[in-house]
Amino acid sequence: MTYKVEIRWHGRGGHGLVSTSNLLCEMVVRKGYYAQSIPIFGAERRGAPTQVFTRISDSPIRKRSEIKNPDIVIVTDPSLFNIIDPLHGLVDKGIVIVNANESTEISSENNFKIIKVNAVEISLESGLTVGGIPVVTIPLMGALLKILGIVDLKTVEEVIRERWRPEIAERNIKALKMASEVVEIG
Amino acid sequence: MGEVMYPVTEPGEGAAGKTGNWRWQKPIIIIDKCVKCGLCWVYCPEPAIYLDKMGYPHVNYEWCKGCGICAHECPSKAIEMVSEYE
Amino acid sequence: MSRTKLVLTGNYASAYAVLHSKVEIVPAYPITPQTTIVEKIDEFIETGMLDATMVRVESEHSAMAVAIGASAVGVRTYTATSSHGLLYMYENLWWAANARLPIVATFVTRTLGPPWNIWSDHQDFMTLRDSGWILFMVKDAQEAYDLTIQAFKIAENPDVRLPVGIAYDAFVISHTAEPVELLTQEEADKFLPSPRAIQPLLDVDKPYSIGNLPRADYHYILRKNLWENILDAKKAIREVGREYGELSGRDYSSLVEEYKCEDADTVFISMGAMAGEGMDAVDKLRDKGYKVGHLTIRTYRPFPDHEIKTIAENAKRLIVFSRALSNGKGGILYDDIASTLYREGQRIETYDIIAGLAGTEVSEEDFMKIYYDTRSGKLDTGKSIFIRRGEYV
Repeated sequence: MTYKVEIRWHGRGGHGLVSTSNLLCEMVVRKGYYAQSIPIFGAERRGAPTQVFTRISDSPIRKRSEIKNPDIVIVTDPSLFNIIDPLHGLVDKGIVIVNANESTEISSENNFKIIKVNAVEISLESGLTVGGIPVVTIPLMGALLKILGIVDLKTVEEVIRERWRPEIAERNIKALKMASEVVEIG
Repeated sequence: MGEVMYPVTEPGEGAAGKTGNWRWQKPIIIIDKCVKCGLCWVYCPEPAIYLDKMGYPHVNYEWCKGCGICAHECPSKAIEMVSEYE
Repeated sequence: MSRTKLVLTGNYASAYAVLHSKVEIVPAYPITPQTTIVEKIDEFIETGMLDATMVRVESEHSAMAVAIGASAVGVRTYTATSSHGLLYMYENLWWAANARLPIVATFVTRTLGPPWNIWSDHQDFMTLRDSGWILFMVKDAQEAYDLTIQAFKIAENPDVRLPVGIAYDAFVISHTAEPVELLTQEEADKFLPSPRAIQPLLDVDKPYSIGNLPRADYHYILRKNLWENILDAKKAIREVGREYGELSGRDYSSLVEEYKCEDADTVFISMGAMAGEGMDAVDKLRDKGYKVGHLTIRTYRPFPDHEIKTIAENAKRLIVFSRALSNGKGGILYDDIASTLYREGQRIETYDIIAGLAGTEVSEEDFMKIYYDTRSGKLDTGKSIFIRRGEYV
C-alpha cells in the first residue's frame, strides 16, 4: 500500500510556514518517509498571503509542481478566507486545520472535515511567542501530526530538542501536545 | 586523451624576434652626466637597459625599440635620443 | 561515523558539498535565488567548520576575477550566482575556461529581465553553452550535493582541467527542502584528492604569463585542444561517476538518466526540475498502455550525443522540452538534439516544446497533453510549440 499525503499551508508572511513545513519534513523523514517542502516565493513580505506545500510519501518524490489537490489544508489566519479561497482543489472529504476559536464560522458547502485549533491561545499559554507575537504554526502542526499519526511523540521531541535550546524546545513541545489534545480522531 | 595545453608563455628573450631594428632613434648615454640613479633601468619597458658593476646603465641595442622613455625619465639629462638616419 | 540524512534545500545541499569538498576560497556576490548557498557557507566558515576564505567582492565580475586568480595558484575555488549575476560575470566565465582553471560554480537558474522575475527558466544557464565550461543540470537536492563533490574531481583531473558548473532551477530546487544523504567527511576525503594536488598555473619558482598575445595559428590549436579535452572529459565524468556510485550507492556513470526507455516508442527529453514531472507522466501513460519513456539530460556539455543516438535507434518519436529559447531560432535543447540526430543520419519524428519560460510551472499534465497531441497528429514536427500551464500560446 502506498502512502501519499499532500498538504497545502496558507498563511501570511512572517507566520513561519516555511520553517514549520521543513520541520515537519525532518520529523517524517526520520520515520523513514520521503518528504518535500516547497515554498512559493514571489513578492510576499510580512503580512502578505503566502503558501507552502508539503508532500509526504513512502516512496521517493519526483514531482515538484504546486499542489493543486491537497488532502489537507492548513490555514494560519481565518481572515484569509475573506481574500482567497484556501480550500480550492481540496479533495473530497479533505481535512482543513484552521487557526480559529470555536465561535469563528467557517462555511463550506463540501463535505470537508474542518478542525478548529485555537492556536493563538495555545501559543500564548505555552509561552510560545516571538517578540510578543504568538507562533501559530506550531500548534497547527501539532494537530496535523495527530491526524497523520506517523510520527511518535519521542521523535517529535527529539527533532524539536535538536533545533532549539531547552527552554524554547519545552515551549514548542507543550504547544504541540496541547494542540494534539484538541483533535479527535474518528 | 590529448594533453591539456595552457595559454601561458614562459619568460624569455624576444618571442617576436630581435626588436632593435624597429628603432628610428636610439638612446645614447652620456656617462659624464649620469648620477647612477637607475631610473632608466627601472622604466625601460623591454627591458633593454642593464646596469654594470659600477651601477652605470648600458643599452642593449639588439632589443631597444628606441621608445625614448629612458631619455624622458632621466633626471640629469644624461640620455640623448639620436636619429638612426643621420 | 555513520552517514546522516538531513532535510535540506538544494542550496543548502550545495553548501554541504562545498564543506565536504574542503573548498579553500569562496569569492561571491549575493543574488536571489543563489544567496542562501553562500550564506550557509559563510556560517560554516564562521563556526570553524570550514577553513576557507570568503571574499566579499563588489560584483559578480569581480567574484569570478578573484576565482580565476585563486584557482591559478592552485587553490580549490568555488562560487555561485544566478541570472543577471551570471551575465555580469560572463566575460570572466569564458576567461576561466580558456585559462583551463578548475573552478567549480553553482548556477541557480533564474529568468532574465526585463520585466523583473526571480523564478526559474534556463535562459541564463544556456548562455554558457559554448563557453568551455563542463555543465551539469541536476533535478534534485541530492544530485546537487553529489555532483558538486564530483565536480571538483572532474575539474582538477590533469587531463580535463576545465571549470565545472552545476545548475538547478530556482526555488523548486534551490529552496525546496527534501531528504539528502550526506557522505561522512572521511568518505569525502577519501574520494577527493587534497587541493594540494591541484596543478598551479602560477608558480613563483617557475614564472609564467597567462593569456599573453599569441600567434593566431597557435591560438587556433589552443582552441581545438580545449574542444578535444572537453569531449574527452566524458570519460572522466563517467569514471568519477562510477567511483562515486561505488562509494555512495548512487551511480553517476552515465551522462543521462534513462527512465523506462528500453521499449519506448516515444521518449520525452528534458532537463532540470521538470524531469520529475516527465517521469511521473511516463508512469501514468504506461498505466494506460502507452510505451513512453523519459530521458533526463544531466550532463549538458559535453553533450551526450552517443546516448541520444542510442535512444533514437529504438524510439520513433522524441519530444524535447526546452526551458530556454534561442530567439530567432527555437528551443535550445531541441536544436542540440536535432543536430545530433542529423549528424548521425537518424530521421525520426521530433517535437520542439517550449515550456516553463519565466518560471511558469510545467506539470505532469502538460507532458501528457503533449503526448496525446503528438500521437493524434495535432502538433507539427520541427516547429516550436509553446505551452503554458496546459494551454498552447
